[in-house]
This record gives sequence, C-alpha cells and structure tokens, in this order.
Amino acid sequence: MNLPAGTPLKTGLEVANVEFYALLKELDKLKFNGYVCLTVAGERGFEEGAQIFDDGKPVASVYEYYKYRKTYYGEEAFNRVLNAAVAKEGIIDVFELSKEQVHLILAFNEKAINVPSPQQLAPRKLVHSPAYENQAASSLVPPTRDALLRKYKLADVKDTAESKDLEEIALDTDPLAELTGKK
Amino acid sequence: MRSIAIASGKGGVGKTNITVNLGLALARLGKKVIIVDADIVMANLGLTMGIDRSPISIHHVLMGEVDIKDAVYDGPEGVKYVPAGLSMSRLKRIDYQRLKDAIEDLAAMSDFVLVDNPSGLAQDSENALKSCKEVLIVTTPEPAALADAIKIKNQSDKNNINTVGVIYNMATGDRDEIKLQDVETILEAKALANIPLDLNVRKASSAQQPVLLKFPKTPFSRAMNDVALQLIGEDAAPRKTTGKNALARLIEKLKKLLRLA
Repeated sequence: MNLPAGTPLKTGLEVANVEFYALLKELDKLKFNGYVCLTVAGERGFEEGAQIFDDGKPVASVYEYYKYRKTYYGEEAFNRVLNAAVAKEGIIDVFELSKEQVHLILAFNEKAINVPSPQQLAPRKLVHSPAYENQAASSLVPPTRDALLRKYKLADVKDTAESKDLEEIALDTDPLAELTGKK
Repeated sequence: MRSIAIASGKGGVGKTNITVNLGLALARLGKKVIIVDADIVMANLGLTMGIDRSPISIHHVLMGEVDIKDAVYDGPEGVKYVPAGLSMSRLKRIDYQRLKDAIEDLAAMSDFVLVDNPSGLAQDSENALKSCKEVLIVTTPEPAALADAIKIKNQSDKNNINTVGVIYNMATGDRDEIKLQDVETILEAKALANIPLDLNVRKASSAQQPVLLKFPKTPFSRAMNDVALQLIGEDAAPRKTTGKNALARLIEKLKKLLRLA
C-alpha cells in the first residue's frame, strides 16, 4: 500500500530498542495522526508493516512480505505488526500526516481498517514467531502452465498443429468444395 | 547407445555450439561420442569445430552412395563426427528416411550420438528429430525462442521421443526475460543448465575452435561439463553458471573483507 511520505517524527529506531506498547501509549497521548512503519528482516526476506493512527488510536494495518509478494490487511496485518515489533532485526519510523490524509487513506483502503479491541492492545509479553512468515510463504502458489502461456502470450502456440497435421487437414479438404457445392 | 537430438526450432539459440561442446565434455568423461550434423541445408558444425575438408558427408549417406561408417571422421578429444556437406547441388537427391537407420548404426558403435538438428519444423528438422530416441531442447529466455521450443516439445511428445531436459541459454538476468522456472513449467521439462550470455562463445566461434578447448573455464564450458555429468547420471545439480570472471570475484572478496574490517 502506498502511503504519503508525511513528516518524519522518529526515524531509524531499532526494533530491539523500542517497547512497542509504550510507543502506542505515547502516540495515544499525543493524539497522533499518521503511521508507524516497521521494516524487519524476516528469515527469508524483508517485511514491512504500517500501523495507521487516527487521533492516537490504531485504526488500520497493512503488512507486506516482499519476497512472496504477499500483503495482509486489517486484523491479520495488525497481528503481524505486533510480531514485527519484537523481531530480531528491523527499524521503526514514525510519520505524521494530517487528519484529512488519514481519512483519505481509510476511505481508499477499507480492507486495511481494523480497530483492535482493548484486550488486543493490552500490554503483554510478545515473542517473535516465524509462523506468520511461513504462512505467507505457503500461500505462494506457483503459476500453472496455462497461466504462464497466457502471461507470455503463447497460449495459441500450445495448440498449434504440426506441419504434418496441417498437411493432413489440407488433404482432407477439397478447396473447390465450396465453389462446386460438393462436400 | 543413446541418440540425442539437440533441437530448438528457432535458429541462433546455440544448438551447434552446445552439440559440439557437450560432445567434447562427454568424451572427456571417457564416453564414445559421435556428433552428427543433421543441418543438411545450413551445415555449420564443421566450421564450429574448425574442420573444413570432409569429402564424404551425411549427404552421401542420405543419397545412398556410402555407408554411414564411411562418413565418420576423427575430431578433437577423441570425438567422432559426421559432417554435412556445404554443397547445395545435392540437396534434391537426398532421402531423409535413411537418417534414422544411419543414427541407429552410429548408436550401436558409441555411447552417445548427438544430432545437431536443423532450425525450423520442416521435413528435415522433423526427420532429424525422429531419428533419435531422446531430445535435448535448447532455448533462450525470449518468447519467440520459447514458442518454437514448445513446438519441438509437442512434436517430440507426439513421436514418443523422450525429452531429457532443457538448456536455458544466453540469459542476461534482465527482469523482462522469461524466467528459468517458467520455461521449465511451460515445457514440462527439467533445466539441465542455466547459461549466461557468454561472449567467449562468440570469440571461440570466430576462432573456429570449440569453446571448451579455447576457454575451458568460461561459464558456457562449465555448463557443458555439468550437463555431461547429468547425462551420464552423475550428481551435478543444475545451477546457474555465473558470468563473473576471476577479477570480479576477487573484487567481491575484497569488498567483503573491507566490510568485515
């Protein structure tokens, strides 16, 4: 999901040095409008999550696995954002937007909207799990042969008759049949 | 014992170079190899090997004038080869049906017969393909080459010719190229080699020497050795033969060291 650049409030914070629930509390206090971007190194590739805030409340989430070209939205993304917040390696950036910008983001990305329950926001000990990445990896289905033939505009080639077939077709067909009315 | 057609449909994808150098690589592994130039119309296998005089050729065999054994010549590294003549005057008198018997005779006296197929899907190409029991398809990462490779695969399947694999040749790594995995899926065949565009192949061709002899360490030559190992059943997983030269590798090592310091 493309988000406006906004005004950087905090950049390059190391995930390991940030207590995520404390950050949520701080942004709530500030009635923050904007988003927190988490870029982490997964086991097999980079992942990026964005948690969007409206008046300090988390209202939408998006999470992308670049290697698998797989993006999650809403609650699924929120759970992954929490998981990323305790990753071994990664950085956190905080960008401020106007309230109108936040509302526009929500209007154009309805599937990302997710307002976590108070229980989901209650601080608890988080342990990073590779299960989320594994799930993204398993969702990657290799394209079928037919899909690839269409992709490269070769779908007709598959059904191309061989030269011999064409000769046989030609022999079976009397070119004068249409003119003479014979079959 | 094995007769393998090296086919692509499209011209200019590297069939002849692969036939010659794969033959040399197999010979170096102790196999008896006979290379046949079945490109009757546009013969150039002899030129690739740097051989210009061959008074008896596959043309004479296909005209019924001589036995195939009389058209076999000694090539480099113990490889034997059957050239095609460069004369166009005899083309009309040849009988393609004799090719299958000739290849069978050659297979009986060797471990591998590699047949350099003509481009296209016309009668000469089809007969060359049908004269073999197996086919090795060569393609480049472009739609036009892949389209013709599909036709070769269809023709092979229809004639019960076993596809031993695909050689993915002249790859540059450009993002618009058709990916190796996609080629494998479309052709329903395993890639035996992923060969980068290697300028040493052109240099060797200009010098009329097999690449394996002139540039034994170039990516193309290493790929040919890998394919040869796979054909004889040795464990050589298909891998990308990088186009990096020794200097590039040294620079990379230095960069790594500097990063560690």
